[in-house]
Amino acid sequence: MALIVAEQLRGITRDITITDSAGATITPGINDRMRVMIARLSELGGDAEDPTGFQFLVVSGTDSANGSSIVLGAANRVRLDAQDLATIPPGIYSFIVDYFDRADASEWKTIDVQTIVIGER
Amino acid sequence: MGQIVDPSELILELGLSATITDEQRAIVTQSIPKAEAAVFRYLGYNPKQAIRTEYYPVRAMGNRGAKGVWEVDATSAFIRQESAVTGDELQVRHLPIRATDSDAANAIDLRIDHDGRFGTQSGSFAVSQQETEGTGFWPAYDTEDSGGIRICNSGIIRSHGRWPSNPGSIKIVYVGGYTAGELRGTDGTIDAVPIWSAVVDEVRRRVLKVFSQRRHTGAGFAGPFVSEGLGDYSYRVDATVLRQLLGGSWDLMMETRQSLDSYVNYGWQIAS
Repeated sequence: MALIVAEQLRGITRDITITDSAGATITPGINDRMRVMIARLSELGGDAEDPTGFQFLVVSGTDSANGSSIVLGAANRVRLDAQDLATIPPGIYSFIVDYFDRADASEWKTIDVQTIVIGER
Repeated sequence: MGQIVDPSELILELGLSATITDEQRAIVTQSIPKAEAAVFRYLGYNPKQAIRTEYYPVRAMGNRGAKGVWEVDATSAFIRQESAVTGDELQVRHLPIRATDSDAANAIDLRIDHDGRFGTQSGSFAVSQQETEGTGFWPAYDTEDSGGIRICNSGIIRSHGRWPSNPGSIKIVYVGGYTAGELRGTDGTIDAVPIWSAVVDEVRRRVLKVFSQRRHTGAGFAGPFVSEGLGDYSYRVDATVLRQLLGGSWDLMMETRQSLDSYVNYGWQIAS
C-alpha cells in the first residue's frame, strides 16, 4: 500500500511488484496483462472487461498517445505521462491496479487499490 | 460504496494511505454509505448530480377559490385548478436545478396530466402534455455554472397560472444536484464543499469510533483511551475533543448540521 503524490504536467513513474500470498514475487507471463486506472470508485461503471467512468486508464502493451505505459517484468514499471495527468482534475483518486492472468480464468482482477493525489500545477 | 466521497479521500484524511490494512479499509468503506445517508437525510435530498424524475403535488391540497383555466385534450375538457398551498410556485426536491446537463442535453421535461395518477396510469403524461420552458413554466434561474448552464438554486418553478392541486398531476424530469468538482471546491463558480466536508467529517467520526472501541485497557475493558502515561510522559484527552472526535451515537454532529444549513431544502419539506 502506498500514497502516490503526482502533479499535473509532471510525469511520474512507479514500479509495482506483484506477490502471492506467501510473499513470492509473481512475474507476469507473456500473455498476461496489467492495467492501471485512476478513478473515483463511485464513478466507475461498465464491467471488469470494459470499465467506464474512469479519469485515466493505461494497459500494458498499449501505450497512450502521450506515452503513458506499463512495462511488465519482475518490477512492473508504470509511467504516467505529464500530458495525461494534466487531463485529470486535481484531487484525490483511487489508483486501481488490475491484473489479467491468462492461466487463471483469463479475466481482469483488481489486485490492489492505492491512493493517488494529483496536485494542481 | 460512496456516492460523493471516494474511500481514498477518507484514507488520506485518516493518514493511513501507506499503512492501511484490509480490515481498516473495510471499516472505512462500510462507514461511507452510513455517513452519506445521514447527510442526505438532513438535507432532504441526494446532492449528487443526476437526472431526477418526480411527481407533484405529493399531498392532497385544499382547493379554495373558484379560479381556474380551461384546458382541452382530444377527449375531454377540464379545469386546471388553482393550488391552495403552493400557489404560483412548484418546489422540487433536488437542488440545484440545471437547465441542461454539461452536454447541453436533458433539458427540463415538465408535463401536466390532470389524471396523471403519479404515472401509474397507462398513457399518462404523454408527449402532447409537455409544457414549454419559458411559456408554460420557468424555473427561478439565479445564476450560471462554470459551463454557462443556468442554475436555479432555490428549486422553485413558476408558471403563468397556478399549479394543479390534484396530487400526482405534474411530472418533471430534470438535472438536479452538484457535480464532483463543485462538491470538492475545484469548480470556480459553484461552491458545495460544505456537503462533501460534512460527509468526510462524519465518516471519519464513525471510523475513529470503531477504531477506538477496538482498543483495550490492560484490564481488558473495551473503550477509547482517555489518558496514558509512561515514565515522565503522559497525556489526557479533553472531554470536549473526545466528544467531537467520536460524537456518541448522534446521526449528525451539531457542527455538521450547522455547516449544511444553507443547503437544506426546507421549501420542499414544507411544500410536499
